[in-house]
Amino acid sequence: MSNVRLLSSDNEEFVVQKEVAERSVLIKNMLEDVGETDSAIPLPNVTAKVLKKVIEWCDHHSSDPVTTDETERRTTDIDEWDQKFMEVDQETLFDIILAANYLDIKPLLDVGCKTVANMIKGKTAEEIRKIFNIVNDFTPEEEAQIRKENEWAEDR
Amino acid sequence: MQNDIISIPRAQYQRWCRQLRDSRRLLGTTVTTSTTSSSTKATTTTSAFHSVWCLPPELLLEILGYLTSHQGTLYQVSLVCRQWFLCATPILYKHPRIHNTYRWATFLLSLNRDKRLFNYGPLVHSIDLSCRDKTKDVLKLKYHDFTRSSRLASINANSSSSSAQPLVTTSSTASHDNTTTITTTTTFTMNDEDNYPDNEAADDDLEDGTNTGTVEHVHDFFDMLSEDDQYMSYHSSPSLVVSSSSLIKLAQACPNLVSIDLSFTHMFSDSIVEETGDYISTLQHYAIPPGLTHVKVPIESAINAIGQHCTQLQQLKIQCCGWVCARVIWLWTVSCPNLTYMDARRSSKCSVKRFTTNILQVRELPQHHAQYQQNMQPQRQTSTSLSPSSSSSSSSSSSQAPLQQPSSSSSSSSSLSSSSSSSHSFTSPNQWTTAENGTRSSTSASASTSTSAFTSPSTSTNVPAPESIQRELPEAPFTAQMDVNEEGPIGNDDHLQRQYQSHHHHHHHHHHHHPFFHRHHHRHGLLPPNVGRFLMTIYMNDDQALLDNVIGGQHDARDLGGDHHPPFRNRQPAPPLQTTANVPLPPVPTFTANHFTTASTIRSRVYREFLAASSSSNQNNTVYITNQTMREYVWSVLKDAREQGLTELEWMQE
Repeated sequence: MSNVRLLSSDNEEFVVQKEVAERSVLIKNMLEDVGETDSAIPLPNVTAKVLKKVIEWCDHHSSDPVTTDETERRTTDIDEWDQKFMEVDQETLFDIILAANYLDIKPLLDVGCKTVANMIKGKTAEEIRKIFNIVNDFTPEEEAQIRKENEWAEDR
Repeated sequence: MQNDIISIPRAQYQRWCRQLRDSRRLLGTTVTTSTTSSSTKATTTTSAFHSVWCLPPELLLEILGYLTSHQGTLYQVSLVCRQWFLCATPILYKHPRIHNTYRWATFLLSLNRDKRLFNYGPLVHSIDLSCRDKTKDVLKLKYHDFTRSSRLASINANSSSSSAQPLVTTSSTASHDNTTTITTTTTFTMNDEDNYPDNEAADDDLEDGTNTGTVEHVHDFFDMLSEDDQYMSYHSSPSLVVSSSSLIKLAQACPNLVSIDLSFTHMFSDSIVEETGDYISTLQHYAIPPGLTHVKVPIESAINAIGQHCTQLQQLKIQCCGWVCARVIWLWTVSCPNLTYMDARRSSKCSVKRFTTNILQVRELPQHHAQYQQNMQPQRQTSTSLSPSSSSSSSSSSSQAPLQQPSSSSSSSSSLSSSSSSSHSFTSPNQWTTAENGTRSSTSASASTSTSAFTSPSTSTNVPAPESIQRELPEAPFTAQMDVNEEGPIGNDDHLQRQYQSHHHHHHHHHHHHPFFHRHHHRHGLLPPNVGRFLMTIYMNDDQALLDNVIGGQHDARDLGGDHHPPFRNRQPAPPLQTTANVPLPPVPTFTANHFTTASTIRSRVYREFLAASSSSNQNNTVYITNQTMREYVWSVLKDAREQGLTELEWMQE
């Protein structure tokens, strides 16, 4: 099995098995386009810290079957290893999601999004703002309007 | 200049955004006017402690996509900030589920307000007014309802013992004039007291002058109203009162509606004030101007409006609705040409039981028969084999099988019907015994009627099943179907369920199934040859179906080239007409004396095939309509019903 060299945005080089790297559709396509190459693939959007995490994930899941069924992907729960894997600070979590999106690693993106969704589940708007440090940029009138319009959906 | 912009890597940009926001937060709400160096300095100290939301909208959408079933959370999400509101709204409005009548009113207001933040209507793809609460323990509620409905059932049995099958009125509630007037004033003011929000915004619109506290009242009222319809109360957890005008408004606002679930709803015909164009129900009752002409808005016009505006409507669920009758179903199919799925089970006012015993689903016939066969065969078989312990019915029915064997090759349909009828006469007497305890008999009676929608409460109360049979009866024919939640009691209700099962079978055999046999013979000769190509398969849950499948299938295998018609019966799956394709028959080389073993082998094997073949939900209890539109199918069934002399179908002559 041949290896692939990946270059993070902060110029750290990672050598991974081609099979592992090809969990990323972006890299896979790139390799197909370029063919066999000795030069490292630059990944300007991913820092070494995140890339390391992503590679760890890809390594663990390198032999997973590719699920194409959208609903199946959506409904399956996060497995235990992934849960552990996602126990990181928020910033890293977001970075992983961004990296997964950029590198086009669907299953990893799913895991990340599910993790965030679980953080949101059952929380009030104020709690969500606190968790993610989001500024409420509504005017009071707007907020009242939304409350009124979406009232039918409120859990009571 | 352009190059400069492009050369900034995204990660760096994100970091920059984060830092900018961090600094903003640190320095208060105003944007910092200080130099970049100072702001970066500020952020480096804070970013270690604070993480800031930095995901772009497309990823937020992705995340919220996992919350589609958490409507309450989505509501909260929409209040977080503008970006979140914009992302959450399309998801929130795509599949709204409305839980009570008050919310239904506010929802419609949101769709139709002159001034609103979003054009919500076109976002709506499906709407669910059934008040099914997926999060709560449905079964417990149900148990509660059983007792309640049984009580009502007994009342009803007294009051309408003679007319088990209600005559159909043109509009289900139109005849009850007093009802309409009462509800007109209450519908929109009605709300769950404890749920009512302290939200002045809502009051603005509703000007809720009359605090009614009438939810219970109204519901009771409707329960009584639907006197020959015991099942209304079956689902006594909040059910919606839908006015005909509200459906019209929904239709006008939501052109992209694909699926509508009106199960368990009560319907009343609103009135429109001709001079002003206002609907009575949306006016305050004290504000109704005197001396104006009130014109009834019948349910027909609501259905018509839905058909007109929601041209993409494919799925209709009208389970357990007192306002659904054969004519209403016909109107739906006429108005909505794209309808491919209709679930009117347990809507007992519909006298044509073929509409209400099963889900009707249109399914295109794939081009290659063989492919079709592969897809269909395993499913058909396993719909029966999924119920693991259907020993009593299977043994009884299969013991009849050898007798059928010879005749099956000569004439498939007649032999099939005789097989089923003979096996019925075999099974059913066993079920004609008295109940082990009286109270439960009434409960199960109502249960059986409610699920199968056979309106004959007087008989059903007298016809409980012996315990032995109950024990043996398949545990979960109904749990294996699509909406497990509401139909498949498990755990505590197990017993009830079994009882219900036996009754169900019984009912089938005697009150329902029987007529169709006779007609079947009759029909066989009447069908034009090409009707035979319209496959109609009906999946029932006992092994009779399996058996019939096997016999029928075998017949097919032998009788290649014959153009026989699928039995048009109500229970057994009709053998698909595989006149040309080779039939990958699940097993059974010879179906003779050792059929017991064969049957079980078939079952296990087919089960495996089924599992492999269909990862999707089990489609038990579904009639698949092929090569026909819903409208054509409904019409053909209606014609049959008229031939049978169901008087209430006189309107068909129009």
